[in-house]
Amino acid sequence: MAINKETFLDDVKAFFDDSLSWCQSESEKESNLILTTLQSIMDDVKRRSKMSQAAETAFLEAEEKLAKLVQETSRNIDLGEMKSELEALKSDSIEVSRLMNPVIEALQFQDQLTQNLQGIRAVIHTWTEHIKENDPDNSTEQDGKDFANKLLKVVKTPHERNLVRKHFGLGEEETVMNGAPAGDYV
Amino acid sequence: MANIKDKVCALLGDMQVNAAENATQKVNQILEVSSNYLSEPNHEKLKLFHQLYFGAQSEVTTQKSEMNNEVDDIFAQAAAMIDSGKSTEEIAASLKIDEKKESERLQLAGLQKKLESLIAFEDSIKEQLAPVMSSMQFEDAARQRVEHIVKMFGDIVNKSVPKKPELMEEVATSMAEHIAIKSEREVFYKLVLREPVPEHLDSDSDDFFFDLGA
Repeated sequence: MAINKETFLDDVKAFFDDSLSWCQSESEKESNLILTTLQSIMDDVKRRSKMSQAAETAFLEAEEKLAKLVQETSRNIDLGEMKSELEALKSDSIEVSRLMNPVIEALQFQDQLTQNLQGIRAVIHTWTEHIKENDPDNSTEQDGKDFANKLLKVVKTPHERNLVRKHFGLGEEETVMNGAPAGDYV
Repeated sequence: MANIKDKVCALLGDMQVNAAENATQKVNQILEVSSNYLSEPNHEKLKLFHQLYFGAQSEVTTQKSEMNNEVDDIFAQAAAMIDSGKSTEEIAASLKIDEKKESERLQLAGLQKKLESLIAFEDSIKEQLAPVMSSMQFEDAARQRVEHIVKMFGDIVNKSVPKKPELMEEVATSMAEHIAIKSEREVFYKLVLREPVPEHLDSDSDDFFFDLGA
């Protein structure tokens, strides 16, 4: 075994980064596939169903916008932005809405998964930096809180910040008007 | 009271569960999307496929897990032989291949064929089916990769790397035992162990179980 003891921790961190990047990159490809599928479904529905003139107009407009969105997605559009665009496409057509809803839900979960992966990466990075200067075998309660406060600055979703609070005994999440992360605990 | 090491491992464990749940929910939505263009029997087949292949107690999961354990056992045997100075050829020749496990591997291959026939849809909808299958495979691969990362992180934290350099080789060996995906193992050997993957360990499955011909 040819491990480098000097760089071992950074080597492992690079491996974790590579694996999480693989997940994120595949996840982005998934989003584009979902939209392409939606395009196929819309084509199919248009062929099979008899729509009113108004519904058909709404449908054609949605199709046109979707084609544009698929093009933009191939240039790495933000997932949240894509979801908003799809919401806007739903227009007043029940038929279009019915098709869009599960797609929007799927993108929502995809977006959350991407954030989960970023959160996991953030915890790993924060730990590897923390232990370069601290000895976890001799840590105090305050060390734990200091570490948790570092995590609260890098973990983005409220749910994950609440998990940090739960595991490190920081109590309930503060209610903040604009939904921004709560401040440090002492 | 739990120490900082237990707390960070428990936190990452919960984050792993969240990620897996979101991946599963996404596939469920994609399955719902597929109900728009698949006939009801075909849609039911696809749902059954998802349960069989990806369900928590699925037959495939169990067999994959057994196979992974087998690979872990072989790896442990190989690591011990490397430590005792044996050559790659000697190691390959003396590794025990368990006949029962070999039979399980064949059963898994049989099950894969069964699943493939289950999703043998007509050509006209294969293109539309690809995103659903791709989504399922991504769910599985991402879940496995995150699970491996969390286990490996546990090794790092519990063995106090880098404060105890004398334990690093033990940690590296233990970490490698969690890996079950070919491309993952290749990167681990390159970046961490800094050596090529031994040929006799090159038996992992790849990220994707089915070739979608993408």
